[in-house]
Amino acid sequence: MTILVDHFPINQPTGSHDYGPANVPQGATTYVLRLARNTTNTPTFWPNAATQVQATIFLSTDGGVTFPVIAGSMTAVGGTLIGPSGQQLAESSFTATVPVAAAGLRAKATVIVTNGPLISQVTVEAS
Amino acid sequence: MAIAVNQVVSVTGSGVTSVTTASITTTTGNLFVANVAYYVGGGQPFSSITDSKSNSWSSESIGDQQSGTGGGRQRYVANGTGGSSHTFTYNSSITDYPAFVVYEVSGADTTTPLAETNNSGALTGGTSYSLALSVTCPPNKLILAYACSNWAVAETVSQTGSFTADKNLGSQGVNEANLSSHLDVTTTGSSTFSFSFGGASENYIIGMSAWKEAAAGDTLFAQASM
Repeated sequence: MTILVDHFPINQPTGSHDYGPANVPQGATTYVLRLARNTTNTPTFWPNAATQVQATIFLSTDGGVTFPVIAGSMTAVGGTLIGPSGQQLAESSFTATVPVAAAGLRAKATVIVTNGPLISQVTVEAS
Repeated sequence: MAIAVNQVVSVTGSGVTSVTTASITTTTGNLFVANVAYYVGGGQPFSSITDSKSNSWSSESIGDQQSGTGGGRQRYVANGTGGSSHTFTYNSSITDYPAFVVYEVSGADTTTPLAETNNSGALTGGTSYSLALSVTCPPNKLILAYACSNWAVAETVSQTGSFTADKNLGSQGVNEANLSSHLDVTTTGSSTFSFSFGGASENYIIGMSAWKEAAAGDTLFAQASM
């Protein structure tokens, strides 16, 4: 897994913001986006359950001029979550696959915040 | 044109209220079938399946099944609208940990493609499971099968038998798991979807559906064995 955006700090008001772009490794078909959540160890991250996020990975085939291809997307809300393991959930994330790998791709993450601000960290990976 | 799987896309999520697949180019008139596994530990999360071409996913081939805190179901769109930049979304009413798989199938009957289904209900305590579905041919059929689990830890799952594993979405402890497979059927008889796994015993469900080729019309029967 190649890290394209590594725990990049987010302090974003309501609205849309892009993170990246970064070059995608040759042959990549799997994309992961992670947003750090509110936990006991990260009390300033995304504490408000009313703060909603739509996070999407977009791909460019023209060197980063346009990003017409969606690699995957998620929506999530803030607050402290207890996951299926019974532990506080440290991240909201998605892992998406694309059917065909392409050469020369660039990727960016677009984060749209409702009822911000969003304080968090974003990580994007590809393999 | 023989019924066949064109392409498969998938996405998993952890701590989300929706997940959306990669955008793909699809063809109008094709069949779309979605298998989704979800976490029912906090209540029933399933809300809807939608897509960017505004198809109606009201047709349910296999309804809600649950085993422990794992749940799953299968829905479809017959004779769907396709095109470029086509995405598929699973929407949850509460925070969820889904594993979502979508098939595009060509050559299917455009009016009543669903021929037969079988589902396991709750399975627990074993290390391997199977479910059988029998169809009468001709015409040719396509069987789509899925196994869902609330695997709480990373486990090794092995497809056995003649089905082709299209997506094997393990949980790693942060999302539900979904093994989705298909089998092209050209002769009359029973087809068994089987898998085994290494790790702690968990809760499973299995669903199978048989899909008719265009211009099909025949008699079917189902048989389950555990």
